[in-house]
Amino acid sequence: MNAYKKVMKQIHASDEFKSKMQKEMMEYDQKKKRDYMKNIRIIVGSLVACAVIAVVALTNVNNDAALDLTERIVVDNSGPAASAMLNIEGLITEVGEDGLSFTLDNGMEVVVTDETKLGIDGPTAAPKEEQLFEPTFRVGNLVGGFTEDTSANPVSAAVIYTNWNFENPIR
Amino acid sequence: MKTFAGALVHEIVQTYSDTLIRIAVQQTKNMSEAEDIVQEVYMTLMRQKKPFDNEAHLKAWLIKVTFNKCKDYFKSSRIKKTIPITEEMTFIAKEEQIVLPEISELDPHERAIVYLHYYEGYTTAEIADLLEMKINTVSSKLRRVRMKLKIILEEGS
Repeated sequence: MNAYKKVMKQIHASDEFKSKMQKEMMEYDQKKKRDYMKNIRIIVGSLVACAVIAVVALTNVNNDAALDLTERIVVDNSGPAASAMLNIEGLITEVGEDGLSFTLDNGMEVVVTDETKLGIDGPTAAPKEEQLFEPTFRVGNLVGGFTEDTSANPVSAAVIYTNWNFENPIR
Repeated sequence: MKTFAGALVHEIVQTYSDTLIRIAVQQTKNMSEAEDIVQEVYMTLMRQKKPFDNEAHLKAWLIKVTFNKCKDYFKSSRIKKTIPITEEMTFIAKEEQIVLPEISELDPHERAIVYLHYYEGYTTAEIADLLEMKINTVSSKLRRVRMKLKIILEEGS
């Protein structure tokens, strides 16, 4: 072996240096893994939060869409004038889960069906957006309507003219 | 545990530290600076995302990064007052210490070339690739080094 190689062979990294490096590199690796897991947790947490918000928002949007009863109001001012009969009248004390059945303070149970006409029609009727009709039935609303069979329980509403909360109205 | 080219981190430190320290010591002429440089090299490796084809590729990468870190060291303000290399290398036998001043007379590229060729056994083409130089330049530097270090390279061979 030549002198150069002999000298080079004697230059080497100390065991202390090697141990220190191994320790530092393993610590770095573990820290990186911890950081990675932390990031994953943050990302997953954010996604879950976004998903929950989206689901809640969609549910609310869908509920609102299903229960926006004012869309069903048809105002035809060219129709014949007539006096309205009112035999459903009272404050809502309880609303069914479907949002289309409710109980009044006089104990009458009312069901709103697809055939139930909503709002006031006729030549003197106010425009749809000015009528006292909220998009949903809710506790505290004053309801006025008509049923053809008052003896039924629950009664099936033929018409609901009014659905309004005078203290806290929602348009 | 993280691996590079199939080798675990502690195996890499065990296998390549001597080579990298030799390159860094020859460049900086200072063992503690050399250790700092090699430490930076290993930390750069830990951040490395590109995979290595094999161990030869990993070794070549480590050598290249060490050499570049040494160049950065000379550009940086942390360069310390140069200590004669023989003062640092007291662990080398006295009769062999005569080799060190001769090596330190070489320019940084020549020091790296002579080590990679005579100690690590790299060809001129491989050295050219490692040090990002032209093959002809490496060959001519190697010829010049042979002339300068004729005695220490041939003695005993």
